[in-house]
Amino acid sequence: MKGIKEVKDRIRAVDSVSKITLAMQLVAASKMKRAQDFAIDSRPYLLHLAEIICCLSEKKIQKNMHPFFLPREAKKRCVVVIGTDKGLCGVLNNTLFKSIPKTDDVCFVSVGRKAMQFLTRAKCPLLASFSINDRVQYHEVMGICDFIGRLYTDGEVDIVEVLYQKFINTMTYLPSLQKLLPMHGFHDVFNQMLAMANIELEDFRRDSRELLFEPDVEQIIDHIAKIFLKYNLHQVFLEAKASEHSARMIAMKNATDNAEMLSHELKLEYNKARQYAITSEIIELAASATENN
Amino acid sequence: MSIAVKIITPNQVVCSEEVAVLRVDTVMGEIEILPMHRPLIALLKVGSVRLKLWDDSIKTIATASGILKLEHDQAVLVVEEAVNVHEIRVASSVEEAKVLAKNALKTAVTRGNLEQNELNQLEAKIRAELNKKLKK
Repeated sequence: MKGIKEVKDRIRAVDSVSKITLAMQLVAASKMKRAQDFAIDSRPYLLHLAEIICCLSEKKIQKNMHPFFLPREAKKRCVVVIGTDKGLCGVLNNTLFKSIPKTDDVCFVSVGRKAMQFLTRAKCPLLASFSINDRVQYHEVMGICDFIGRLYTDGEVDIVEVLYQKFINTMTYLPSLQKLLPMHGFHDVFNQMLAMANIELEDFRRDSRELLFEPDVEQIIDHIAKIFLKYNLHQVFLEAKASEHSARMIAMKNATDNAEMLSHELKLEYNKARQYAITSEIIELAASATENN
Repeated sequence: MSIAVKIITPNQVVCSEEVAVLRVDTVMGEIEILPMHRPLIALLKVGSVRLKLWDDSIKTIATASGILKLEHDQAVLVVEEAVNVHEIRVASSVEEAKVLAKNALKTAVTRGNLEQNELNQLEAKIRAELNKKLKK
């Protein structure tokens, strides 16, 4: 049996660790609530933008030839990997990195320190590395959006995808690879969004009369292509942040629970050791007393 | 017959109303939309949206640029930012600010006394620590 002092030191260490993890759990919980609200509140905006693009119909878009909507031969892919800046969020990053595509025609853009570290260690071709803070501000998103937009229009890459942990609920997140550019096959994307938001297609009633455009289709498509890319990316970041804080909250809760359990076990061990010491002292006293008699 | 208007921003749904007349600023100029209008998609510039309700009251909402989609008397305005003009209450917010400042000054005085006590306690603690160190 270990000495009383060692057990006591361990109890103290475990208790202080559990205090730290509990504090981190509470911080993550409050951040999680905010991030989840942001992610859920901004879904309708994107859904309605997508619905307008669906209205413009594939034919009209192809006739107008906006580069963002034009599919082309996929020679080079670019994947934006969204990891976290800090650790202590369980297996969140590991499960995400397992789904990174490992073919020769892929180049990467990383967001978050952990994603950058992983991609550089794996010697993947990394084009740029961005960082996004917890508030997901528009100017940060705009920087990334401009960068990938230019890569695509300059013809350096033919497909832009984003890999992130999609937020389902506090316990579940799915690593998902979503295509950002080109935006063809838009009806499938829209249907996926509807399924995510639990909205039926009948809620969007169609009008059989011909659509009017003001000022004209080209300008509308040009405008909507840019803002859709921007807010699609923005939504992805919000979802990734919601997943991150949820995962951290759960990880820290588990850590606190484990520390409390360990502390309980150690306390039992400490009490046993103390009792053993007292009993042996009494036996010694009794033995010496009988000898003296 | 009425038009169901919904104004949506990335952060929230700002307004959802049944209106008689909808007036918006598009990049081509101001347009007024009545029920049974043909389906329309229009680019909106930074400006205001005026909603005439059934009780003849008018609601004005300041919006950033965006897109209007009208179909089946359902108008959806997808804009980057929107503020209900009636919610911007300059005069009352000034009054609130004054009251807030007064209360803050009052509590700050009492808080100041408390802080003095805390300061004294802290100072005593630091002195004790310092003495310990010096003795070593």
